[in-house]
Amino acid sequence: VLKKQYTIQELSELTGYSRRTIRYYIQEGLLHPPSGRGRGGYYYDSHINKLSQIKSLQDKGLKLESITEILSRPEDLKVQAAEIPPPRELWIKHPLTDGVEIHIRRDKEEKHRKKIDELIRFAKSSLKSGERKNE
Amino acid sequence: MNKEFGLLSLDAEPIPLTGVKVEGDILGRGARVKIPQRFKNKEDKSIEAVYKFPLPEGAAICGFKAHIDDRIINGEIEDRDIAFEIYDDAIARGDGGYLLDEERPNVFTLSVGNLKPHSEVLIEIAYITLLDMEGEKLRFFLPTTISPRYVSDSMDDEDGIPVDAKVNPPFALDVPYGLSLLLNIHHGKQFSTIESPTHPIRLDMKSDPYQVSLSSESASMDRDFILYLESKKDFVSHAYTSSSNNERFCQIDILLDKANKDDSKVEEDVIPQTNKEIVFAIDCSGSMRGDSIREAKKALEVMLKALSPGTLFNIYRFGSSYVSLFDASVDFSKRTMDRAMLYLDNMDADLGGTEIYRLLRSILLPDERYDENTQKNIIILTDGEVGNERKILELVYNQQKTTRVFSVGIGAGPNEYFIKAIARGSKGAHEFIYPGERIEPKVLRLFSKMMESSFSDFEIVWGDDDVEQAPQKPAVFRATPQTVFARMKSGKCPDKIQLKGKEDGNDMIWEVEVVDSNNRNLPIPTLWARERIRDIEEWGDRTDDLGSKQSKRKIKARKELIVDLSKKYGVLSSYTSFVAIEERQDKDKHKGELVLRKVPVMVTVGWHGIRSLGVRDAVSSDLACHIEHSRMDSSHVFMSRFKEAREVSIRSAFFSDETDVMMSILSLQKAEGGLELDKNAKTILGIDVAEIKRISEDIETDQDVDTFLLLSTAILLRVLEIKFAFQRDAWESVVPKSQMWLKSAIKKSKPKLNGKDLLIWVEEYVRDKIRMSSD
Repeated sequence: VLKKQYTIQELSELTGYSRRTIRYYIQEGLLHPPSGRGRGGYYYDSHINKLSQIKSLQDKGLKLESITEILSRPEDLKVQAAEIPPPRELWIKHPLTDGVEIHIRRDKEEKHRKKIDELIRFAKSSLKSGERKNE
Repeated sequence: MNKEFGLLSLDAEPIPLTGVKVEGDILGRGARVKIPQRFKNKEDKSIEAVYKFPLPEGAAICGFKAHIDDRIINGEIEDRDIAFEIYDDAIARGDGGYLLDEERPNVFTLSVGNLKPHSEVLIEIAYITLLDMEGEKLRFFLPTTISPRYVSDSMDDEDGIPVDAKVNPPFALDVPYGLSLLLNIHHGKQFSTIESPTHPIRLDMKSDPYQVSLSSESASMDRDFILYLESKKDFVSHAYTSSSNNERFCQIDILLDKANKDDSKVEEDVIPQTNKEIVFAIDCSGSMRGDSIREAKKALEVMLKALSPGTLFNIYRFGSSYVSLFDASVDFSKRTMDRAMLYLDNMDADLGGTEIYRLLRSILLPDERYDENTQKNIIILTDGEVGNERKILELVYNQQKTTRVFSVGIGAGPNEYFIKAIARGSKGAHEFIYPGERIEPKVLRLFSKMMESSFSDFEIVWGDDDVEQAPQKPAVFRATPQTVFARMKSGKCPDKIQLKGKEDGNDMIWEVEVVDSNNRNLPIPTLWARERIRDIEEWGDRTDDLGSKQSKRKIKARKELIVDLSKKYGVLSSYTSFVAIEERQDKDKHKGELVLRKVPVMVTVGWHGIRSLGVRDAVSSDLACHIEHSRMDSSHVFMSRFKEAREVSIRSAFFSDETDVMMSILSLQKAEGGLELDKNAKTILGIDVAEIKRISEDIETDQDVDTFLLLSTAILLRVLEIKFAFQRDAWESVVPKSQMWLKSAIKKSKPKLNGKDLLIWVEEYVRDKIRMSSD
């Protein structure tokens, strides 16, 4: 049975990735190069699968660096890639006053920026009024 | 198996870029520049060379050509993705492809595709730009390398590609290619001095145009090139018009005179109450180590001491994290000033990378203690090497009603785009300081802009309802040139253009006559298009709600607008690319594998202490065989001595000890006003404090007053007036507090010394001292 073949243009249209980004992923070894000589070669369903795998991880807020790491994990772990926590969790630190900080995980921070700003402001002013009472 | 691969380390790979040549023409306030870059494939296989390089952020990039043997192929502007596809298809067919992408307004990627073994290509990039003005000087600026941008873990990928890969090229400590430069300075006679703080230059003045070239044939591409041209004529407002394809364009260069200070008014008033908040943010990342941090601290001390009681202030230091002196801004007083001074003493550049986003978020947190009329001002000193410019700028744009940012770019290769855009986006102002240039005068010039009563409702009346003005919201300061462009839909331009604004509640109107540009200057349509594109990129179209969430539809509409403008006027943008295709005969096509060769660039000199410039030493040793020239020397002497071509490297105010003296005087200011002499005055001014103390006891007054403070303030202010008249810009805005203190003290106490009014006695004393010191 002949494998289904796609040009880079078709691959781009099917996956939503720009050709520039696809070329970058090939260059970085995330995607296999096309079959045949040079750039004019063909792509297969495996390329589409790989790209949709990348896409689903990106939709979870992962950056390419982490995705590369997850995709290079041994096959049996890769299946559960979605369930494995990202290799590094990022926490943002907001110093309030000497010795007091609020830590917020980055994805939460991005989502609720206004609320978090309010929270920090409130915490700061309540710490301040506490100081005054103690004086 | 990996033996061969092992050889392909960065050191072993031949670098395909062989040289960068810059050829430019300086015409009035503008420049037309061509940058030919020569590539040669020294390998036995075909390659794709990728070179990331910087250009000035305001440049209108309007030309892209590939020279292959005798053929010249002109590039065309296309939608960014389409341009890539055209390029990619060409390479797949075996043809040659050449692509220029804008990654940031000042970072570009050139891809040279399918360069066959041992073949060559010359890529020529052309741009036009208006030059910045610093006081009386035009500043020609050309960056040569990209400083490593700090890309933090929290920065999102762009189109699925990490920011790091987009903006950071591979870096090397040395590269085999270098820079050569030739600038034609038209109507050279109009300039009194031509000097470069960055490179030794050769100046040929035999005929017009004058020619400037670098002393060395091939200079290291590890620092910006800067050329200052000081004009003999005073700059005044001008307006030009020109038409092209049935469209009419107008350019107005605005320069508003300094406000006339009404002296009688000052006398009556006590120190005016401001509702200003001033936040100082100092980059304490590793790249600021050494002289930079020391001078920054000095400038900060002087600015702090210039604040009026009651002004809210705070100090932040930042690097990969930030810390502040106070939890929130506090009132300026003797007590808080003393705490700030102590804080400054212990400040060092020890805070790692450059993380500005979180810093600004913290500073910009609204504070319910202030009413909405409180104007927040941020003075930020940094090299600005960040990768997430857009995100930081959005923060600032959203607060532009209440917050202004005054930015100072520091180093041999700061991020010009970021430093300018953060000021532009908040109606603030910026300065750049090259290593070895004194930080203080420039920072104080910025400070004086901040203290200036700003214009409200500034407006340009074009006499036409349907005008596309760019920039839409120019920041206007007195004595600071600003250029604004317009496209008139009606095709008509009035004879006169009115400028309107409110200053301290007073209506102000200026009129500027419009003349035909006769195409003497740079093409106005191209400059307008560049400015308009930038405006849309930074502010959105005028129909957009500022600060509102950007819907997908709006972003799409914005993109279409930019692509249309970019194609129509032939100016590169963030959404478009230049692409040129070299069609080859069948026998010349190469369809096989291409090896990717990323061109490494040099790390900016002084970056994180790498090959620190130590400019003061380096430049003075260069000077050994050159002629020294101080800024205050009469310029025609300099000009007439250089009738023939010879090497010039000019020593100027950058290294003057005078500035140290001025800064010492300014740092004597007290929180409540007044300048108090201390024991160092003997060494810096030749004034003996004990003697002044003794004299001050003889002062007769109507009222009890600190006669020593009175006398030292009067003397020091007079020294500034007489001895530092040429640096007035720097100190003028720092001392009003002490001037007012002195005036009101004299009015109340009517001091006399030896039967003379105190000020008359002081005048004679200071003139005597200065005469003695110059003998």
